[in-house]
Amino acid sequence: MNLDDTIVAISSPAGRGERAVLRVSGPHALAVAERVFREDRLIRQHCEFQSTSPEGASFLAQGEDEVEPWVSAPPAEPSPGRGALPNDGPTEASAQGAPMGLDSHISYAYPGFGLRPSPWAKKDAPAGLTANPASTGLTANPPSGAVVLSDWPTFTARPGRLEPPGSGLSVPAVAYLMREPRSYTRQDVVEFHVGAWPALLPLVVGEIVAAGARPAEPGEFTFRAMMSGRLDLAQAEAVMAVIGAASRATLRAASDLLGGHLSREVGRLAAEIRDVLALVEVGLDFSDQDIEIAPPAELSRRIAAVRAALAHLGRSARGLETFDGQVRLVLAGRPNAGKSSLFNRLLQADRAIVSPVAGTTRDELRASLRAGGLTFTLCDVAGIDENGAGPGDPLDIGAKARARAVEALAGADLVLLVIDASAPPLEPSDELLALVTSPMVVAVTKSDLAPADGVPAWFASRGVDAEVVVTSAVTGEGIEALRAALVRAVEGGAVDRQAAGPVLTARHRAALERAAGALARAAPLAERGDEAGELVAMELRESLEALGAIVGDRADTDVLGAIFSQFCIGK
Amino acid sequence: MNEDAFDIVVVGGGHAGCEAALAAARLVGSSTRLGARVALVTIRADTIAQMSCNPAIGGLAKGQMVREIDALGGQMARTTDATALQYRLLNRSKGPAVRSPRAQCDRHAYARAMQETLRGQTGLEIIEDVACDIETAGDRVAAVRCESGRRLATRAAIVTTGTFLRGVLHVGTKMWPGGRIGEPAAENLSAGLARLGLVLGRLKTGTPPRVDGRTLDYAHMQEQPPDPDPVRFSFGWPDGPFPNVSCWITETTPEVHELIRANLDRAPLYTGQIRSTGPRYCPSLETKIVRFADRRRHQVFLEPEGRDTPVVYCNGLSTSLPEDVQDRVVHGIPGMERAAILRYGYAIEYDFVPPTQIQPTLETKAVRGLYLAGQINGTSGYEEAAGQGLLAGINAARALQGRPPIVLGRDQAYLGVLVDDLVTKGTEEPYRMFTSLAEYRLVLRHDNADRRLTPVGREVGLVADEAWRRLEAKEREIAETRALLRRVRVEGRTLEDLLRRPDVTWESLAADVPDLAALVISPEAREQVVIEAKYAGYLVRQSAQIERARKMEDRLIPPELDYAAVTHLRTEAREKLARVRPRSMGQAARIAGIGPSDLAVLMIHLKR
Repeated sequence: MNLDDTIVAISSPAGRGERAVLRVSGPHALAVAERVFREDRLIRQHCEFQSTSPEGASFLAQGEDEVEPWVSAPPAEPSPGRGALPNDGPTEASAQGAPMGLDSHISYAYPGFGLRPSPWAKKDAPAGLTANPASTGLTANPPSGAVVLSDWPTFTARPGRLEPPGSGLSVPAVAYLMREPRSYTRQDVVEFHVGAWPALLPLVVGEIVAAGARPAEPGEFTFRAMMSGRLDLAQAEAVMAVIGAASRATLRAASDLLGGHLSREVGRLAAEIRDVLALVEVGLDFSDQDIEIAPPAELSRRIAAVRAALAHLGRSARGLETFDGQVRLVLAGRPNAGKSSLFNRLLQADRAIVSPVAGTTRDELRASLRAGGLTFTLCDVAGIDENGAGPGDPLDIGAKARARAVEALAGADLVLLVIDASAPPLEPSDELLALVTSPMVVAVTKSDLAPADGVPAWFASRGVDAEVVVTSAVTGEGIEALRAALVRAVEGGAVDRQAAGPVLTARHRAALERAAGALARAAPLAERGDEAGELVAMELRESLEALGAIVGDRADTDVLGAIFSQFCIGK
Repeated sequence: MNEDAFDIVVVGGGHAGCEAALAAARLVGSSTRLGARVALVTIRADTIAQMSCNPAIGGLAKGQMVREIDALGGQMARTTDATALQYRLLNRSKGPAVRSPRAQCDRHAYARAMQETLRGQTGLEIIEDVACDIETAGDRVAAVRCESGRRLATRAAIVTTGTFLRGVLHVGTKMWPGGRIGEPAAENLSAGLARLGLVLGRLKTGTPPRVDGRTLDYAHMQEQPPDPDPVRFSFGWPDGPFPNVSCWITETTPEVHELIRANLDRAPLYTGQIRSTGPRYCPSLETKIVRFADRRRHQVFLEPEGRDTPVVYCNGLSTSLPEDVQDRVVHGIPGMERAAILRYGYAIEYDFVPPTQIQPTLETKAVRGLYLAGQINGTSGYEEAAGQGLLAGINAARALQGRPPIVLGRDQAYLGVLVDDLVTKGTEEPYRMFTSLAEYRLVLRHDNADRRLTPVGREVGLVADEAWRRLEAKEREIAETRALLRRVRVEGRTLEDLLRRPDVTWESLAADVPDLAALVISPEAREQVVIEAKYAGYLVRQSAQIERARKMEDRLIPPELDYAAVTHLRTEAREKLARVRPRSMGQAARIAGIGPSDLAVLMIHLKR
């Protein structure tokens, strides 16, 4: 992948999209951006130091080797606390790149710009697209014209208009300029924040591409951020998750990863392994010294403790791969309750409206459902039969399918409980309900065959807070209502609690498992004492290497440094 | 008649210089041209191969290197075996990878034996003089200039100056120039090296007092006897007289510590008189007492320096305290109350060339044909020095012959780890080898050094037919025995499987299996078979690690790469890469402060 050219993409999230962000990064970012932007000098003075919204230009500053001015600049107004999210919901915050406010070190705004929400960028966004800029009050006789971004200082935000030449279009926008290296990618970056005018944005991108930029590959801005050393690997992965974050809960989980929760935890465990390794090595490399060597039982105990901590981390961690930034929606119910029909019906309806947007970062296409600006990953599992697998199932196929269903339910953000109106009893079994630990929406199917009037009352009587929607996959009755109910369940915040614990990608999990495996071999070896020291060391090094891979860096293996700081060496 | 012409001039007659001179002479001396083609310039010919510090060779990780030197065709192991006073295999109770042979040597006998070897080497001339400058023609070495005015024209120079480059000795508040006690320093060569563009740094080391063994009271000390079954260094060197000299252990006392604390205002390490960095693993007594104040005792090992001398080396008492304090310290130690001090401990500061300035061939990046080896590269230890000297001698000779250099891998030898660490990471303190520095420790054992490196030494031309035949015979024995172990079964399981059980030994197996009992096999070959059977699983994993790493080692970086043209490299990464100029992505990854994203940027650049 080329890192030297200038790339452009619409980097706002898909969905409701009240606003859109168009980002340009690379050596010619300024020059190509000038082609489409006209500065509005009338309101410039008014806006220059106030026009940054919380959504501002969306990059983050952390892990910096140089001091970034905004890291330490106290915000002019109370800054959101750790893990707090922008008020406007996930779509506002999840522009490609990193959302602002994911970490307590990141203030929402540029220093000196103030934190006041921008009246320009938000409230005053004109209601319509105008063919003639002069026809609106805002731009009547503007003393505007060709703009020279290269004259602007860095961290400049100025209002103006996006006017792709020859398009006859003109739309108000705010341009943000961040010069290298103080930008997300550490290249020159220009962002345009505009109302999401679907018709306009491709024209703007087309013009910028015509000027010499290249449409960005999915994730390419973040790739550049990582390559330039701004993000470590775990953080870059977190950004990718944030981009696809479909709910506040997901966003919070990903921001946890981005904030370095996993890296910190892994770092703490790696430090303990390194300390144990130092004890082992001191027994090997300094055995001719008058040093008290740790007893084998203690080494073994400490190794086992780290292994247990790693296992706990793996268990408590939420698999990022299980939702990949999307709401994992599991359909549950008795066999033949109509889950698959409902599944297909939901997807059918969805496919008609899916339109991939350039620059968003869906790295893979899934059987996903888009509704209300959210993305759901639908997972249809085998039905849960209260009888379980009978003795007449020698291959245990039913039991295996059931085990998979149980696992899927455990990993669900949201469960769609499917009840067949035509096949009483309508109440779900206690066993099935016990497996559902996530928030729930109830769909009564086959409404064309039978009424299902008692279901809502039944759930209410059981104290289950679940919306019940009556549907028919055949007639299409209730499908739209069901989509709305799913969105409400997520946006109502019910899904939030799922985001507890650090977040793991499949890669992280594999690395954790490799580390834990090495420690599992090391602990009994350590008990053997002297004769196996070099083997214990080999296993401990392997676990350190595996953990180092999580943050994309080799773990600190300065074992000698640890030894010299702890032991009196030297005959 | 001040003009002589050589192929290779070695500057310095320490352990690096000796190996360099011998290897060079053995490799280039085979030509038909008459007269010496290799010269060794040294300040005093009678102190060649002097053990300036303790009278011992080998030790943890170092013993492995000495055996590697032997396998490659170097000299140190043979001379040690000929002059040893005692052998001990360290870490005997531990796994085979960390077992290390160590020998106490007769200090004078060792130097004498090495000097005889040098004098007997055809094609090698020993010149007593002080090198003061390196002359170049273009970017190549042209001559070594000496203080006498002599000019030694040469095609290559190997500089092995040890502690002699602008050396300054410290005892208490006294300081004076010198290369080591009783010998002058090389005062002018530093400036010559600097003129060639080399940056110099400064390091410190130290040595303890020596006492008269006849004045020690061994009744109050613990004896440290030699191993009854010595493991020698040289593969196949005939056994010398049974080395049966003991060392003795005593320890310091709280009163001695108090005495030292009371005199820190006269300790050059604490008054600011010494500024440069000393070895962390070999601190002075005063450093130990300051840094680990809660320790009430420190061990002192009393090591005899020879059979015919009363001199005893006080290992553990390295110090540069004033003489009167040294007197009281020594006399405060149990068993040493009446000890006669023959020589006081001292510290020495000297110039070194931070080793990122040399290539893995040990040739400097700045000047073609100029090689550096030993303490000038920031190392400490006789073994580290000898290993570098050997490699520098080999590579200087090969370069003249137009043959490719020998660069040992980290998976191949401790000497490979040593050189790679030096040229990749540099060092800010005297560098010493540890087994923990070798990521492939399980395969870098002392017992298989011959199997790892004799083929290399043979290819180079330093391994004689006899040693080569010995290795071939050993390999044959190993292969045949392994085949037997895989063929013969007891209760359905192969002998190899049985041997893998922790509780099964060769002997216990042989007691039950007549085939095995009847087998005639050398102990060395048998040891290889047993280790490889018992550690098979780990060795396979280590081999897999090596294979994985080799992919990175095989991704070569063009030596002339312009790092300024690699856009997107962080400034720090760019500077480090440009300074080290790694040969491969693997080496680049080992540079401190180079992260995965730097490597990715580099990789993307190279792919274009």
